[in-house]
Amino acid sequence: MTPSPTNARPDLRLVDVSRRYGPVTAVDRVSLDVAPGEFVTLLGPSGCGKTTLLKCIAGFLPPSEGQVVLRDEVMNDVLPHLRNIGIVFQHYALFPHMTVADNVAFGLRMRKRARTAIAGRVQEMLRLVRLPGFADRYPHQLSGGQQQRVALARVLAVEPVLLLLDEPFGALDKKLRVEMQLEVKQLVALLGMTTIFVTHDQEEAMRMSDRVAIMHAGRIVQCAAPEVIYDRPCDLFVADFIGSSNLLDGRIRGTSAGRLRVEVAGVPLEVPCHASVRPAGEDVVVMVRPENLALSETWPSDRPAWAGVVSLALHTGPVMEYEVVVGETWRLRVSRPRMQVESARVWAKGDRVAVTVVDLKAVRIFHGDTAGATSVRSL
Amino acid sequence: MPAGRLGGRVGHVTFWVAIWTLALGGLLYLLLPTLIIVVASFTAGEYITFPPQGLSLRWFTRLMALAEVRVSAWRSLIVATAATAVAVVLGVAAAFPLVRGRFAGREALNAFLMSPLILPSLVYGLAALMFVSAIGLPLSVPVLVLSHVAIIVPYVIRTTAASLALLDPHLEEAARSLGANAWKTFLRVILPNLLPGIATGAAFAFISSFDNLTVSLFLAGPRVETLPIRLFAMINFDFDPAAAAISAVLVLITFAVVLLAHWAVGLTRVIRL
Amino acid sequence: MDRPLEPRDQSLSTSGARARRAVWSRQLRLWQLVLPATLFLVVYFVVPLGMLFYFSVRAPGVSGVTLVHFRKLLTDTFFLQTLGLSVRLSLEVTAVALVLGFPLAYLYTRLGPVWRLAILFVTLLPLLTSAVVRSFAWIVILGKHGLINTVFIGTGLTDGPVKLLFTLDGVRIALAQVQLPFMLLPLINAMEQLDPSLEHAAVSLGASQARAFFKVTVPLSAPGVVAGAILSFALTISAFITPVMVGGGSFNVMPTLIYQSAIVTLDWSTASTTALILLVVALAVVWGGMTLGRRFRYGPGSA
Repeated sequence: MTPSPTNARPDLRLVDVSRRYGPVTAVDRVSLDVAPGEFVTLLGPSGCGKTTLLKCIAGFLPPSEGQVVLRDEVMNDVLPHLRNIGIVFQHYALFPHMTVADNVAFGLRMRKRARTAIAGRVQEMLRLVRLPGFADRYPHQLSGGQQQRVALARVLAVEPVLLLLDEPFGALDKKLRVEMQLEVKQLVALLGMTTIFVTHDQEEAMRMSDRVAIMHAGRIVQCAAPEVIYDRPCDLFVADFIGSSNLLDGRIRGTSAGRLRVEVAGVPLEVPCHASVRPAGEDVVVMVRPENLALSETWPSDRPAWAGVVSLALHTGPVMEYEVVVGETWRLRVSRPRMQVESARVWAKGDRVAVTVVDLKAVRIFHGDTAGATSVRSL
Repeated sequence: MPAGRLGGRVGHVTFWVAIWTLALGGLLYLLLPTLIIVVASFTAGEYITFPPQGLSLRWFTRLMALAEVRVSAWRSLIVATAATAVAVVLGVAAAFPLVRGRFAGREALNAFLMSPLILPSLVYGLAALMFVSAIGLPLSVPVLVLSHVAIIVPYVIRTTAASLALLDPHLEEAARSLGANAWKTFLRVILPNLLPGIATGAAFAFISSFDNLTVSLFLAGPRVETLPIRLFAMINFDFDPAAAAISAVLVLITFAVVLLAHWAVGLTRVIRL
Repeated sequence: MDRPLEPRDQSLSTSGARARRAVWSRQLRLWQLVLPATLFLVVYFVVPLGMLFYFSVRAPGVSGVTLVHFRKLLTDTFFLQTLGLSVRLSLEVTAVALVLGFPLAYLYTRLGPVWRLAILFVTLLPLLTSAVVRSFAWIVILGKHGLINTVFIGTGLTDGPVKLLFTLDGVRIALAQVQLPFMLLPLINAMEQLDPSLEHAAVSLGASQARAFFKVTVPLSAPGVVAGAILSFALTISAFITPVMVGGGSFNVMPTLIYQSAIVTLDWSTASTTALILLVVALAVVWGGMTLGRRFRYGPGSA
């Protein structure tokens, strides 16, 4: 489900939202529309402002500037308990003195629903999160995954306009985390819940989201579908932050027919590029994902290649990760699937290899050099 | 080198024997007086001795006959209850800004509110007496209650603040986001989770007030005698063996307070409050 | 952003649900909750201490501030002897509490939950027991026909009763018991922060258990030792009940001087001045101890 954000009326609209603490700007003029049923992730390193932004949306912090709009209603002055936003916290924040049923019923009681209606709704929610027999347990009697489900049942019971997930999987071990990710994803899709998900885990963000908003220093630097973020990062920060990549200093040698000739480590690459003509001699950074590099024993006749020596060969299960030393200073990271039809060969340390780019269309070029600022835009 | 190994083993054993001896000695030293006074109170003899000369309840029976003990015990109970009640209201309210607030001087304010804990209570008793005489208040139960509040309010603030600091701040946000207003969040979510801490602080405050002698000595005056003052007089001037019976009762109350603290928050956490 | 921003829309509805709105500023400001306790302590704690100070610097017939009381006391041999005794007694009691408390705290961190609970119980019970009751118990133990003399004479250790009650030694014994819990709790808190594998590391590197204890655990527990010693010293020097009851008036310490001037001779100026000198000595030790303690702190958080 990938709703088009521009057509429908957005469930949440952030208009130039800023939040300052004294001289520190934690959130800097953030604007974002989230369509009904959309799953948007705020992804960024710790301290990037994502949690502050979440608090502004939830109403725990008033924004210094800008507007938080929920279904066409400006929420800036509305107290948090009147916003009808559901939040699942990292450590779930289940009320320790209440049973599971009382936790799930809490929001309904605050809304003064009829007692029988509450009981029915609680049962329904516990069935939904597959915890039907757990009504009378206390939170401390539950496993992490079960607590997570109760926290979900508790917010979903009140049918919030918007669901906020604040690093909800951080406290779970890896295997359980992946299970819960799938479960939550299916649940919110089933209910058509508009969701904002905050995390610093990029895999999690990629796996779950319709769109990912990358935050850096209080701003959203790129907001797009996961594959777009991965394939076409808008700047060096995103390129470096998402996935692993080889960021290599290069120099422009010329342009011809929509192709940019870039020299990297003594090898000229012809990269397809729609950007305007760049002056020859300009320094750039070239991003090549490790899986976009291939190794071979023989020198390829049809494409340029680097000559190198394998200096590290690591097994990670499905993929072999190599580091190849080219020349004096260049180290290329290469990852190849082990079960590959065309080249089943597994390399070892010390092997002499030729390194080639698999797909030149997937190579990205940025202004500047690797030592410079990371916020430069891509060409 | 067997000789070296043997030496090492001897050293090892000596070390642990020394540690255990000192530690067990310390434990016995801590426990002995309390134990002895309780056992001695059951003596059948004319004097309080240890070991007791035969066992009887005669000194407990005699307590019932001592009108001034009854009156002073009742007064101490009233003073301690009232002082604890006031201290809980002031202390619980103050704990919130001290933990959750963000304002300049919070640390300094915390240190100020804790300062009665480190001021010698004898010095405070003297100062309070001067203050009360200067403004012309007669020595009375309310005056005594207020002076006790000043020295016990830090206990309540400390235990409440410690419980509050351990409480996940997200609980409040969760309750707010689920539709509870500030007042309901406090009553239905925060307060129930703080009760053990508040109860422990209140119990410590109560026992401190109930057992207080040094402040009361200055502020009680002859007409508002409290139980510790009566007990002090019975031991030092009257040489009345019924004092042991009172002591045993006081130990029992202290025992109950420690058990309450253990039941409410667990002793391993109490010591970090 | 990969989408153009729409212009800021000012026409978004703000009136629809105004009724259920409250403004942030109308919320009760959290910090105001601290006011009642603060005001109470200002009136009932700070003002009285101010009066204490006032009485110590005023004298009849002298206008303005005078240090005559301080001069009189600090040149008085009897007063200085009492002050010296108070300081010495507090140091001795603190040392005894440390020697007994350290092994107990050390064992606490190495024993199972049942032992821990027992140690805590035995620590907290006397801590919360009335000082009058505890001193009374020591009278029973130390007296002529008390436990110690019964044991000593019964085992033939001494021929006649040893005089302990109403002596300085008796007060030392009783006070050290009173202060032991105050020494133990900071020690336990400090030692619980220590990683037990530090000692294991020392042993695996060839240190004996005793060396590992003295070279690793003892130095790293220094902050707890300092905290416990400060507390124990400050409380001993201001202890009143135990010196009066177990000492039986056979000697004076600072608190008994204060009480006598205030209640017996009704000389509030001398009482206030004595109290202030006591406070200054106690605060000097607290300050000195804290300065010393800062040196012993290692690792993150040291300042």
